[in-house]
Amino acid sequence: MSSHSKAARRFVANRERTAWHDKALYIVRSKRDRMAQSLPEWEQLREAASQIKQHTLSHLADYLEKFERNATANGIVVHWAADAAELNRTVEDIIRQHGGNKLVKSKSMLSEECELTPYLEERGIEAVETDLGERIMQLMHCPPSHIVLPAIHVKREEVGELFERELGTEVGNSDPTYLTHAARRHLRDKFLTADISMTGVNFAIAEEGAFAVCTNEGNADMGTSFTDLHIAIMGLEKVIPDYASLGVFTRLLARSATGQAVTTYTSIYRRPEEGKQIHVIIVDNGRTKSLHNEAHRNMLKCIRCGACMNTCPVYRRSGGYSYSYFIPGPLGINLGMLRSPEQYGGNASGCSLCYSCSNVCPAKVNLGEQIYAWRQEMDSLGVAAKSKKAMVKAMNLIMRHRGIFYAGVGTLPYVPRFVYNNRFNPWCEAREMPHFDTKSFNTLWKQGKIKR
Amino acid sequence: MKVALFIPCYVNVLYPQVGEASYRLLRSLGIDVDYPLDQTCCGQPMANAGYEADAKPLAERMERLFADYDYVVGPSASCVSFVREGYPHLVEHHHNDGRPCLAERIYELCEFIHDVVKPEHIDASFHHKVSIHNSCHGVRHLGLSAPSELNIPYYSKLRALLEKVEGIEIFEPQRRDECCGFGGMFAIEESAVSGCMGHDKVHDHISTGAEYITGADSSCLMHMQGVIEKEGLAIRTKHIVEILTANE
Amino acid sequence: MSTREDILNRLRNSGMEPQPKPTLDFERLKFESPEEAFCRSAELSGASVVEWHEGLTPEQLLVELDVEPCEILSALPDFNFGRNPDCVADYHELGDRYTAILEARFGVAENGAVWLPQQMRHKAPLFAAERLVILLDRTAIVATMQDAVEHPLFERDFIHGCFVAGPSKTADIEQALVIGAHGAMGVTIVLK
Repeated sequence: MSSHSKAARRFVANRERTAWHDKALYIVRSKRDRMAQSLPEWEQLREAASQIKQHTLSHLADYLEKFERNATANGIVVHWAADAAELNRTVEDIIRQHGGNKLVKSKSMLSEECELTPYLEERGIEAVETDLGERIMQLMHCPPSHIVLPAIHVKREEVGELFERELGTEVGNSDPTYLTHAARRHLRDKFLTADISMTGVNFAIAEEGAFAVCTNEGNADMGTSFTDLHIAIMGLEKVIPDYASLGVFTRLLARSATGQAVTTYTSIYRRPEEGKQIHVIIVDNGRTKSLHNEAHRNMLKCIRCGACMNTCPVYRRSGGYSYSYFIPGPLGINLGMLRSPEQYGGNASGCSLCYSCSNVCPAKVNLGEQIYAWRQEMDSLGVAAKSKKAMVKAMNLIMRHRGIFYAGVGTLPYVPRFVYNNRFNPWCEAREMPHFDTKSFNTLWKQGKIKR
Repeated sequence: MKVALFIPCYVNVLYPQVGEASYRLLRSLGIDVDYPLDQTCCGQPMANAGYEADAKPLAERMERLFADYDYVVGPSASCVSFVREGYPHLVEHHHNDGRPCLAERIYELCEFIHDVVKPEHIDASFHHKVSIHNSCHGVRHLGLSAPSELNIPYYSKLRALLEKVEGIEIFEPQRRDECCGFGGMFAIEESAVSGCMGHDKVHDHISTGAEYITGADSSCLMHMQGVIEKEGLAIRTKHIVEILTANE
Repeated sequence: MSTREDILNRLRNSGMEPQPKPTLDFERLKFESPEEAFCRSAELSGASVVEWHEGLTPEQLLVELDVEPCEILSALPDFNFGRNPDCVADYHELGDRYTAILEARFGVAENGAVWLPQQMRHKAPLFAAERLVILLDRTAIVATMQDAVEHPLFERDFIHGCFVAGPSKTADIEQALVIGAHGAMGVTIVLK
């Protein structure tokens, strides 16, 4: 059994919770649908987004240089990091040079990818997550289970108990408004006393040397407002050509992510305020390798909206933690395979190939097709499941020989049902076997029993 | 035009009545239809599991079996979609009598009737409530209906055909094209999630008030029928072609 | 070789064929009344929209909006009743019980956002204020974000600029929408 299959089984065992998780995410998917339906040019926008990304990826070096040149001219300091280690070191160096040890973070999947927070914490730098969902997960000492909705798997009562312990909220009060406002006060204090802020980058605009950060809570902006040093970290695929491109992406991002027309805050950082610093770190960490991978470079078009997770019928019923890569769902299956098939190949089974993910993706990343393609590569990569391979080989032997197939099939009606319809047959876990009690169509045809 | 019936392996073995109804339906529409003998599997299960190379000899066998026909028509959207999408890069093109490769000649049965035959009338009656099962490959690869994710006008070739059946009441589940969780090898390898998806899907169909779940994919129907029997639920599955030939 | 050169070299050797830049010439959403559409979208985003009726003085407007003049933080000459953000020595000391009054360059009908390039020495009050009152010229409303970035008032040279759509919000606890996560608890758009 694959790693995903095993972990998913544990999640599904609690049917009630699974149904709750599925429903919560399907509501987000439905909101996204309503938004998509409300824009007559929706499909053209997706196509445009896809083409902009394709174009940018095929000129990535030029656009990154252009971004660097223009950002530098605006007074932003640009750094480059080859991998997670270099990113983490660079962040630490910038902080050491500036001074201070209190950092407020807004959500960044790149920082999760590079395990930046634990790196900083080990070195005496307090890194506080300020997105409410991320903060909940940080206080729970757990990773996020969704890239946009980090605490989607946590119930309000659990947040209530957590905040009782950590923030001293009223016992037994699990009202989301009460809890959110308690977190607001707790984090307001963190913002006001922080030395350094860190944000991700949704879009780096090459032509302008500026970058956009999108949030609903305003946490990224609170952080950058009350600190003198702003460190923004970006995967190198985050660059887009110009504001016209930003216009396209900002129409798609929130609609796809949460079903809002736009995020509450679309902040564009262009120059540091007087007396302040902005540093941008451009990170590779495997992305150039992905660009070289012709079959899978499409993944670099992703704008991290999370729509593929919300629509994925498997993700909704197996939860974010059933995937061994830190990003779950169709996106995580693919990114995990790009990172290391040996380590993350166990996620590839978590897909029924329904292709809904490919249809919701605002940048037209063909996620489902790529999972299919990865499956074709797994055997030669040495990460295919042996039992599955044996099954396929046996099936293939039978199907290639019509004699064996039909001889075998002919005997089926004579096999007692309990032989195959039992608990040792994994099919029967949730369903009955079909009934093998008739002659095949082929036989009926040969016997002239199909009315001509 | 020469039309061949493609009866996929599991339909052939488990649901011969679907093959029979397919034959009868095409004949009733005045189509000259033949069944090339000894068909087995198109190779989709192997390919979806990650062994496309194993599907290759099966694909070549299919190309040979169906070399002489203008159209090849099968009552299984998923198998047809695999032939259409997968074969072009799996097999050397067999140009027989100038005919294009199988991928370009193969049709799902409803698609063929809706797009090629275009009958005004279908001689069938079915005085029951049915819920349409929009299967993933049928919807998202063959375009049998408008996928719920896209902003394109609603259409459904299955519904259009069912509407020609006398006495029928047609419904669709709330999540109109959510996967039922079959997915070939997925059903075995991820049996817990697959079972949960099947349960949810069947209940979504039940909540329409329908007596039957119908669709163009026997594989999804087989999976859901298994769930129905296991849970003892009050709904049944019936392939759409059985309804398009019904007289009840 | 430096990390920078190394990365750029690898990108240049990706083997990817150059792809053309799309023209983006498809037809965009249009509204018969951009103003009405804006109001609808702004309300959906959680903002309230009021009109500044002709003849109403700023003082009278504040009474209508239920804003105490002493709670105001604004650099706009018309609203010089409370504190001026540019004269605040340390904005960390501002507290959070104030209403910031700002003027937007333009609004976006499809999503109710307004464009606010940085007008103060520090941007902090835009985010830390308990309430935002944003003045907007009712004739300065574009249909979409694509139109927004082409707008002549979408100036090129700013320190920081923000499209703000309604109050700060979150749904991170069981997808229940809560207003006032970190930023403004309330946003009022005043149409001039």
